[in-house]
Amino acid sequence: MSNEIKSDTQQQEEAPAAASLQKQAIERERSNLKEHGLLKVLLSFLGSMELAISLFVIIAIASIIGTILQQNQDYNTYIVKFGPFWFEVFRSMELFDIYSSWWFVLLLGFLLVSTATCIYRYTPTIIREWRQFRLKVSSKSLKLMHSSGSWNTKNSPDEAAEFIKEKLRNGGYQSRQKNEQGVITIAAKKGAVNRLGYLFTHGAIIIICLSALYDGNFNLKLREVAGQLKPETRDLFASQVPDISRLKADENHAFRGNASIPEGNTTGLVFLQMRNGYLVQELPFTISLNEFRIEHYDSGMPKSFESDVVIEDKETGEKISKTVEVNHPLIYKDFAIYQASFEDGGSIMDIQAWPMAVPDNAGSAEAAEAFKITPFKQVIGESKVIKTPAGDYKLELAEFKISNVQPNPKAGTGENEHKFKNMGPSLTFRIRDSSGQAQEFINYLNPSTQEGRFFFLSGVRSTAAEPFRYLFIPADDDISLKRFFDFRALLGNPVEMQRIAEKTAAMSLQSAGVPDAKMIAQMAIVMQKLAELFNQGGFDRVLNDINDNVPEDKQKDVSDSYFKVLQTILGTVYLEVLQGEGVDIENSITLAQEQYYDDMVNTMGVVSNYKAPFFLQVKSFEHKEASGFQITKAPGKDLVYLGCILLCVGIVLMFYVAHKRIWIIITPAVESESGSRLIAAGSGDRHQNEFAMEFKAFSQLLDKHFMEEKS
Amino acid sequence: MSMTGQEMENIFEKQNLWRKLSLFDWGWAAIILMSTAYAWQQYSVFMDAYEAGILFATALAIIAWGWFWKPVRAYSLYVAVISLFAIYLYGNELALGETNFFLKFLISSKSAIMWMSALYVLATVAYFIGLFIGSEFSSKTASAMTWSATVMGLVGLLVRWRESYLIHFDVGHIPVSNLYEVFILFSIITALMYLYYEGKNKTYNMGGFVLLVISSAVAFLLWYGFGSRGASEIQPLVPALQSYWMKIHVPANFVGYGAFALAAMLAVAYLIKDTMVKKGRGGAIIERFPDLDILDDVMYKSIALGFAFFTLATILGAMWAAEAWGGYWSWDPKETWALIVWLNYAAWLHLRLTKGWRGRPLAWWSIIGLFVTLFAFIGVNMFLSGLHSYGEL
Ligand code: HEM
Repeated sequence: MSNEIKSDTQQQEEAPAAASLQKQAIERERSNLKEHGLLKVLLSFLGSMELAISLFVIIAIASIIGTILQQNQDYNTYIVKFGPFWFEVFRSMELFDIYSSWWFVLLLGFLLVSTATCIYRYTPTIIREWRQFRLKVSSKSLKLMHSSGSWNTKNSPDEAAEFIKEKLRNGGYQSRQKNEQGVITIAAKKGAVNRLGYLFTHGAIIIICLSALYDGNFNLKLREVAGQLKPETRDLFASQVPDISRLKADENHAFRGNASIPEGNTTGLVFLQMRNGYLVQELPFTISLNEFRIEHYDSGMPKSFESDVVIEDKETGEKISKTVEVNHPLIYKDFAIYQASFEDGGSIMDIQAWPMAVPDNAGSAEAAEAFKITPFKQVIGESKVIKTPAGDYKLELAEFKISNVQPNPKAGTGENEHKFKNMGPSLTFRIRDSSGQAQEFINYLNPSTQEGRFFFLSGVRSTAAEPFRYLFIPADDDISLKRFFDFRALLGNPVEMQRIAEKTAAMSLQSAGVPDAKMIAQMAIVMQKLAELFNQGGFDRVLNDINDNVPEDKQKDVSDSYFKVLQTILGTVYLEVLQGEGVDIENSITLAQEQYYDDMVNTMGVVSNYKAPFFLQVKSFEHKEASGFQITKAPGKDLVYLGCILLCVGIVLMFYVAHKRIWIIITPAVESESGSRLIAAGSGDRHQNEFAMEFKAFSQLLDKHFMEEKS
Repeated sequence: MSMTGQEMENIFEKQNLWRKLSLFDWGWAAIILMSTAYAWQQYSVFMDAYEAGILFATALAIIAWGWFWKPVRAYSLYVAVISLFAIYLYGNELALGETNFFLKFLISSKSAIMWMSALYVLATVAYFIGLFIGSEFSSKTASAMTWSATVMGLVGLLVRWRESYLIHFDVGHIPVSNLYEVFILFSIITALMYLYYEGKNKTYNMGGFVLLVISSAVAFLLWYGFGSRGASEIQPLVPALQSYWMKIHVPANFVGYGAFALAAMLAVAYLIKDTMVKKGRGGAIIERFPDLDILDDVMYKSIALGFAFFTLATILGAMWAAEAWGGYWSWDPKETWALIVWLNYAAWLHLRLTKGWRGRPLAWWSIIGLFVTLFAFIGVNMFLSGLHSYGEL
């Protein structure tokens, strides 16, 4: 009794089994294709592993480039980044839209052909493997297999065969038997579905790629090449887009587009992004946005947003009302409508502009008059020219935010303390001068508190890269900006200032006991001059003036007396402003009004850094939101999913179902009449180690059985 | 598939699955089913049909897993008991995490993760000591520590899940939504896969190498989660992430990442041993390295498993994208990198299965594969912008 089982942990073990299958396939093909020499060469190239691996690697590298080089940006961005030369090179290689470039699609095409060839070559073999039990084996070939063994038994061949077949059945094997001149051959196999895995995975790749290609925009590219389509790159209203950039509802079987619909509006169009331009796609229905809702977490982060929409079929007039939510799209016929984003839908700002710049001719009364800009309304996203004595400016309203939640710096760890505070609505806008230079501003509509007092905040910066620098303007008793700008207006009004300066000079000199008319006049002039300097740049401006014009050793004395004088006239101006508001200045100046004066004087000191011709105040607003939808038609989607299921099933079959075969040849013993001799062997294809264990168990079973029978 | 020699012997005997299962198997399955039923009865009002499906499918999957790999039974019981204890201690009072002794020092989410981190690092050291001085005791200790760390890691995640609901009902969500959380997931999944192969091949000598990658993950976790970034704070979910898809897409992905990492670390061991043996410098230590065949085999099995899960995860991701963004494939950087990883391992598997490649070249390839995987996993979030929002560094 011999029982040899070779070690199966040798390397290179599984390859021969796989290779043998491959060899069979190739041989069969050779006989089929003898006449077609060229086709044969082509097939063996297209179905070669080398091609497949190269394709994997090349596609991976191309994909990497596509992730590093941001795709489908505005062309100007690329020109700035790479310069005109490289821009042109990259553009001609379609590197800005790699995934729908002709060469990338060509690569995918090769992948398809390669897998298809593979399937074509293997399928006959697989069907054969699936059906056949391979009863044509010889004792010699069995002995050569890695897992093999032989036994002698007193059983007759039939008895032995029965026993073995039962055991094989228990082990999950199907078997077939052949009797030839007293010799019994049993061929058994299990896990043949493993072979199906190969068909499934490779078939899946073909299904997925083809359906995804069908859902892609390749047809549009072809029409573009044919000159029937041209993406629009200008910023136009949908109605102005020329026909060459438009697609009728029935003209395009698959697309992915965007539509932004303001509340209360309706659209029947979507925009398809194409490289640096877009196409306008008509829909067979219209979408109306009735209401857009958004909820926030305490931190101000959006928690959910949703839109109540009504779909109306253009043909049948059928209407459907539904709510679309993130992760819960609306499916209508072949179309799917997704909640993608939200933005301002053209909120209307009710604006008051307060004069800010101190023009050179501030002295003229006409200038002061010209500065009175009547309140106006302006929509977010639009721009308007504003005339000021310092020239014409373009006001561009960029963004309106209904709330601004920020971490509360004062929050402790206490249970009920608010970790966040809401700064309220804000407006971001740009003021552009006639040379095209712009400053960006952000104004918070509601005043915020600092040490218990209210201030209006406005940030300014020259470029988007800088942080905003903030100006704090104190709010008056009515929580408004009026007092501050009244004060500035009075300071900037030379006629009034002359009157006030003379009055103040007279009063202060009289109380000092020197009512000399000439001195009063002189002092009034100094006062007026100082107030003007102050109006231009606060106390710093006054100091600079002293530094420039007064000898160094006298500067200290001069500035001391100048500041005293300046404070006096500013105080009088402030009192006049208060009086204008109807405050009884003789008796009832409140502490808050005193504090206001200090805050205002501080702000005046930095106001010259706030480079703006006017200060913009939003007095009220009408908030309007727009909901961003993604609208798609992807008829290949279900096929893609089918391919995906096939792929998963195929992978499991291929990796986790072992295809195993066992053969047994039973020959009647020559010497004694009743006994027989067995040779068994098997192979586990790609699961040799596991099969070796299984075969060992099988051998031991036979050992035991035949041993018992002997004793 | 895993079978011990004994099970193999029975393979040709008439049998059925049911007789192979012990009383413990049945009792344990009953516990899982009863807890699932309880969860259903308590929380079904909050679930949509998909989530109910996920709940029951998870229960069945856990039972199948435990019957297939027996240590899972005890593991799951330990995790359940400790997590429930923590949840019981919390009651409805999140602040107890700071005051209750058990919570503060042992089983609040943060503490459990700390214990996990410490145990993984210690286990790494112990495995290497076991390998270098050939101490069986040290190796066994390492294995026990790895198991304990893995218990604590999962406890940490489960308790964190509860904690998120204690912060606010609105904030509650499964803890697989940011880099901090998925790094914990990565660590325990990799460890579990390793422990499976450790048991199956009855060798502790791969441990140090695998635990090295887990320790690196732990180092990142501590830096990222508890350093100045404070990423360990529970954050609410942006609308796009509020979906049942997250519950299946992310874990499936991390089985893939974990398996690829495991394969790469075995490849390192393979290359060291192979090089030393070839140079004739195979001393006693190198002798104790696991067999090249075992390394090669486990490397293959692990990549195959990873590939299967990664394929599934990518498909689930595509389906989610179709539902959330309106397209199953947008060439978003994260998606694209998933494809790159997939192509990489597809090439690896083809070379092994059809070309019969083995050993060194594939070991090198697995190591390169780990870097590709790492980039897809964190590099994309660090360097590229896209729609996948979690955890920008
Ligand atoms: C992505 C596109 C794919 C391409 C271009 C491709 C290409 C190929 C090629 C060229 C072969 C050799 C066939 C021959 O020699 O005739 C092959 C074999 C094989 N492929 Fe793929 N394949 C792809 C996907 C997959 C997938 C997803 C799997 C799943 C794991 C897979 C698993 C296999 C296996 C196991 C074999 C060997 C079959 C055997 O020898 O029995 N392939 N493939």
